[in-house]
Amino acid sequence: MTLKKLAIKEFGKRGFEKLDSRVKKVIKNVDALNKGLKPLSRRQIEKALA
Amino acid sequence: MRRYFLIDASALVPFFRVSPESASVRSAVLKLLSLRAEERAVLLVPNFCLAECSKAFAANIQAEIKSSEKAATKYHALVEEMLDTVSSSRRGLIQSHELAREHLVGIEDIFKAQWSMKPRGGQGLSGLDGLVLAMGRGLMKAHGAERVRVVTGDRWMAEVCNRNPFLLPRAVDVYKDPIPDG
Repeated sequence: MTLKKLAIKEFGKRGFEKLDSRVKKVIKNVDALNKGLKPLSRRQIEKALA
Repeated sequence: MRRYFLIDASALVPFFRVSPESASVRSAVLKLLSLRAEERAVLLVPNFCLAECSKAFAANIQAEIKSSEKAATKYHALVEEMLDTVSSSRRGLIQSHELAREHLVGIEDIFKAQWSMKPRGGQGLSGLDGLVLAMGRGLMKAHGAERVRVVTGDRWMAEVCNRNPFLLPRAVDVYKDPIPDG
């Protein structure tokens, strides 16, 4: 699920519109950066951090 | 009440890199960012956790993108986005928290705190985990236990905090706990 969809789920459509522009920018950029990348499993994340 | 949230790398990496299991983590970090934008929270990340995040991004991007040129472009874009969120001269939603000498004083107490919890194989705090918790302890001393939370995706780290309330601030395990509002 994209961050934008998650944000709408978390704050509602109106809440999302009212979000600070800096937060909306982070959402937009992170979604763009994850395009074309495979989702990681929690195990992969833990392994990458170990 | 304005709380101080100290965010560990294990909570930050799944925010920037999608994972099917990380919806709760991403929602939690989004909520923190919105609280911060409303001036209801102070978000801090230990400076060395940024290096940990960079390392994690590098490892999984290198494994996923075969072309080293494309991998480097994607990697730098991800790191830049993270720095944009953290750097005070850019968006500055999260502040980088510097490691100081005072954090190292008595760090042994944190490692000793897990003795009674009987960690099994694979469990146990790493040196960097200990430093994160030492910074959390410093914030707790400065602002009071109720106003500080450690935000982590590491079960063990969360457990060490929550089972030692006189030594460490409470922790939010972003895979299962909600972010406290007020």
